[in-house]
Amino acid sequence: MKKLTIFFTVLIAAIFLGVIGIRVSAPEQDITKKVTKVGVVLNGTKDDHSWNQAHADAFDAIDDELNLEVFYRENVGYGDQAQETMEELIANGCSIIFAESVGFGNAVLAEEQKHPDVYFYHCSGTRYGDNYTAFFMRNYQSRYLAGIAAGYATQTGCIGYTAAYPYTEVIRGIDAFTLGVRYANPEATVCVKYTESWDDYDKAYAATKDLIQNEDCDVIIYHTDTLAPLVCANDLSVKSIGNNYDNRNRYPDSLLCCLEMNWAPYYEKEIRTCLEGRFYGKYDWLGLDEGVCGITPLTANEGANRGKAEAAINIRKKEMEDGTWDVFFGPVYSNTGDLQIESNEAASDYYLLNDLNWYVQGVAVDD
Amino acid sequence: MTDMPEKKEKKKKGGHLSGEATQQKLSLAMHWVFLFLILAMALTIVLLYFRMNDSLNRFAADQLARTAKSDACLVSEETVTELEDLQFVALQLEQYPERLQEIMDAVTATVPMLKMGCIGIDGTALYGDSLPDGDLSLVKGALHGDGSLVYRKGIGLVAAYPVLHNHNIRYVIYEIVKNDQLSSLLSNTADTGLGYSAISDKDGELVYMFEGIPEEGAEFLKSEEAAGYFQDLFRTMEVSSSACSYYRTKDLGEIFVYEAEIPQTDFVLTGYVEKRAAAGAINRIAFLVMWVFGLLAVIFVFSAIYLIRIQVKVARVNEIMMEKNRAEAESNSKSSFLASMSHEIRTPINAVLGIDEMILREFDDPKLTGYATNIKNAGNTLLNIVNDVLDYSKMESGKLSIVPVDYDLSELIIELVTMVRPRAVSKSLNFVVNVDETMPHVLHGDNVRVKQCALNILTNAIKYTERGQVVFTVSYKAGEDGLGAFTFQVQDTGIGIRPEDMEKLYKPFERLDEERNHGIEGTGLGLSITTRLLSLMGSKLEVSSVYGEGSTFSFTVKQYVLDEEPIGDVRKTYKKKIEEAPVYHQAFTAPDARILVVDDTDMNLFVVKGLLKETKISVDTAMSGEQGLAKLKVYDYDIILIDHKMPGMDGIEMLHRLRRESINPNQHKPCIALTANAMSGARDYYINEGFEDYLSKPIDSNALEKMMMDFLPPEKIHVEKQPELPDPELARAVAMLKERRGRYMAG
Repeated sequence: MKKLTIFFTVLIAAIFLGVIGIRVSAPEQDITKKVTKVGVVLNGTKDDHSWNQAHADAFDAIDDELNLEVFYRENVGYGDQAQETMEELIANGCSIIFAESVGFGNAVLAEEQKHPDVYFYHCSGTRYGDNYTAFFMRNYQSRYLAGIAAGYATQTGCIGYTAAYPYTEVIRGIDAFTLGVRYANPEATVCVKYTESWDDYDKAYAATKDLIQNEDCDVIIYHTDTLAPLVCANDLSVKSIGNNYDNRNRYPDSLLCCLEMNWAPYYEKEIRTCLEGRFYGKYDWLGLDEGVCGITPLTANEGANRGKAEAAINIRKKEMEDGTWDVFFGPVYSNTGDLQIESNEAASDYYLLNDLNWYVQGVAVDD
Repeated sequence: MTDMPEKKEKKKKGGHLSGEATQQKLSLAMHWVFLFLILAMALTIVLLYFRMNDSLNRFAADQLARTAKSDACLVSEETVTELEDLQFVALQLEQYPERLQEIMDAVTATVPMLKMGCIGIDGTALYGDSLPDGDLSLVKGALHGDGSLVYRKGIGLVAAYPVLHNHNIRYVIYEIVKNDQLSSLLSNTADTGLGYSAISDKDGELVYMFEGIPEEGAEFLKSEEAAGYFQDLFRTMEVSSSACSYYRTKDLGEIFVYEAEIPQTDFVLTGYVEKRAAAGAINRIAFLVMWVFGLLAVIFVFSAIYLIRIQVKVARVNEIMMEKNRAEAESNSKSSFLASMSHEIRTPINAVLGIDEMILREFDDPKLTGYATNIKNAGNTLLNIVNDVLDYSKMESGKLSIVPVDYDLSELIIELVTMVRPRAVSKSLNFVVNVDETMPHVLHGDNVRVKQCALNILTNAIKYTERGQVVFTVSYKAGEDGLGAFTFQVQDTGIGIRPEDMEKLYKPFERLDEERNHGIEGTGLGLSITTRLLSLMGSKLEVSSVYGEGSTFSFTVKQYVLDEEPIGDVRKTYKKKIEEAPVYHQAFTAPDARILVVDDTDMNLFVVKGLLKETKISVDTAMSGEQGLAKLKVYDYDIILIDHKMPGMDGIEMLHRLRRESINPNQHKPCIALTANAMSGARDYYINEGFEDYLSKPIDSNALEKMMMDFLPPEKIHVEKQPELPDPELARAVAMLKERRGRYMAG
């Protein structure tokens, strides 16, 4: 009697539990519930007060909210090391990889093939596919505005430009800057000196010194990762314009303004998209109007023309924000005298990203 | 069953009462178990229903979500086609920049309802109108060199494509598809069977509704309720690009609401479909499952109930079996006790009476025969008392039984009268006998017991009557089915019975008026045995009495009537019978006959030898089965009398052995069983075992002689003329006595 009762009770309990327990699992609603591992590949250190730090700052701003665990890999060289680093990060469990330098392009291409379920973001790259996106800021817009500042600040009419490599991105920057300079000061020239390195301090310092002492440049702007040009300008008491990061407090006597970036909003949006499973590969070129890039306010070092400079900057800024004007709207002449962009025409993004390889009027490249 | 031994224990201690209590407790427990089972099943069914419904709805919703997703992709593609058309136009314009006007005119002519135009990089209209509000963000992508599709509320869908000149953008061609024109654009997606769809932006603003949405559907999609659902879904959509959920609404009933992102746009496809339309089969599945499960549940519950009841029954049956076994064992032990008692007691009495009989026959000395007669009377009295006690014993253990046989009523009456009259006469009482002359006398019933009852009340009447008379009446009433009701009544003028003493009548061992009745003999068992016998025969004792004046005892028994012939004058009928019946005589001699008697009690052997002395039959004896078999091997016998109960080899075994011995000359000789304890059906029993017949102990000499007559080879029997006894009455009395002893055939 007892045995039977127990048997039936157990049987019913089993049915009961089965009915309760077997449930259709609903998909996880909160994407930030789980920790997401993100790998960030940097070609420098994340406290370089420059390019890399700007990216690091952006991740710092969003990692709590999105429940991220960010793995930084610093001083990663291009080539095999980049690919190995990415492999290692993926093996570690990273589901999104940010490659924050143009030179990581090949590694990204190789890795994205091998790991179709990992999302890749290549900053300053241009190619995109099913699981990788290339993105960049329209720094040229910032440089244009910086050019205005430089144009109004220069006394000698010669502005020095320490640059890393002569390729589209850098050339684009030089051209945009020069157009800005010329907008402010139609007579000024921009002297360019290449260091053939992003972070070689000595080379950058030497090049800058050369520009100041030999070319008579009284405003320095640069396109390297290393801060050497700023240091040099500061040492030699000339004006400078910062790159990638707001370092005005570090060189208060020298800096007119700094180009700056704010990746946080973009990163947040993109990472969310990835977590929601809505990623699709694209090319994002984010401009002033999206708040990703711009220049800091002018310092006192701007001098007497500060007011004019600010006014001009604001006008152009607004036009760029409205979309009624952009830096590479025609007419634009190359420094060989060719009309490259006719009036009422604008250079397409594609062109600006991939094919722009000439210098505008006012650019003098020092070989 | 772990708790069964416990219950058995309780039963042993408390007997019937605790058994009942256990039963009650068991029953109560069972009811709780049933209730529990039923509740549990009901609860399970309810839960199953809800769970299943949820699961099925979820499944349907997931399917719909996928459909919605692919539909959203379709929408995306449809809109992207617009761009491709523009691209084609742009290429034309690129090739023939000077023919802008011409080309645009041609193009706009093909789609007059759509607003088309060209704008320069700064927003100035080169053909058609400039953008609404000069909002260049509408064509931003195109301005940067890529085709773009933008939807703006209030404006519609804006498709734009750049017209290049080398690597530069010269201007942008755009096309605006207004809200109401979208339906033709999206016509393909409207009929996907996905219910009713609309397009909203990511903030939940309804942008466009597809055609064919019924009134209440449109209302619903615009309602707060729907907005709530879409919010819900959008949260789900954080993890996927489409979502669908089941909702129960008050206006539209059971519906599935879905959302799917339209890829490469900032819009989502939203909508709902009625459950009926989308997943009607779910209800059928649900119903089917519930039906089956319900049936199973019912079967389950009934099986459970059935099984439990069986268990209980089995337990009960086991209990009963145990009790039965115990009772049977008890009964059996009582039976064997009674049987052995019977045997033990009667054997010596048999010896006394038998030897006493021999004395009476062989000696003439009056003094000696006088003593012997006294011994005989005393012995018979003792036998009666012993029989009464044994009867009572049997009665108490329920072993008293009725053995119906064919008999003659006239014999019964005359025997009674013969036994009773002398006693009445000796007390100077008038003894009157009234017999209904018309009643039938050839009957079937237990004459022994009827006679016993009648004798009891007769002797009581005489015992308790000092003066006056005792009237014995036998009357008859015809009945049905061959039965007749015979009433035996005894009326006396005796001391009577006080009303308050009536009950005591039936109580065994109790004598009424002990002082007054002090000298009266008897065990006091008679009436209680009589009442018991009467109740066994379906009758009861009727008593009426007036203290000091007399009493009337009577009873009525139903006996089967075998012959309607009336009894007539009893005496005459009887006389006729007697004259035909054998009185004591040595009817024959058989000097050449030889018999063997096997009995472990040498007293019994002695008795048989004595009884057969006059017949001159040679009587050999053996004291055991083995001895008997040994003798049988050597000598030739005509009849073998074998005692049933002997230690070691009993009579039956000996018989079987004999029958198996093919070289034995006596292998097939007639064997008669001797038993002190014959039960009903004894004859059949012994015949079955291989005997020819049986004789009951104490051995009746008539019966013994009859047996000899029946089984001796006829040539060895020499019949002699029978001498008449001087007193026929005496002869009859003697014969009665013999018969009386013979009644103990029935045990």
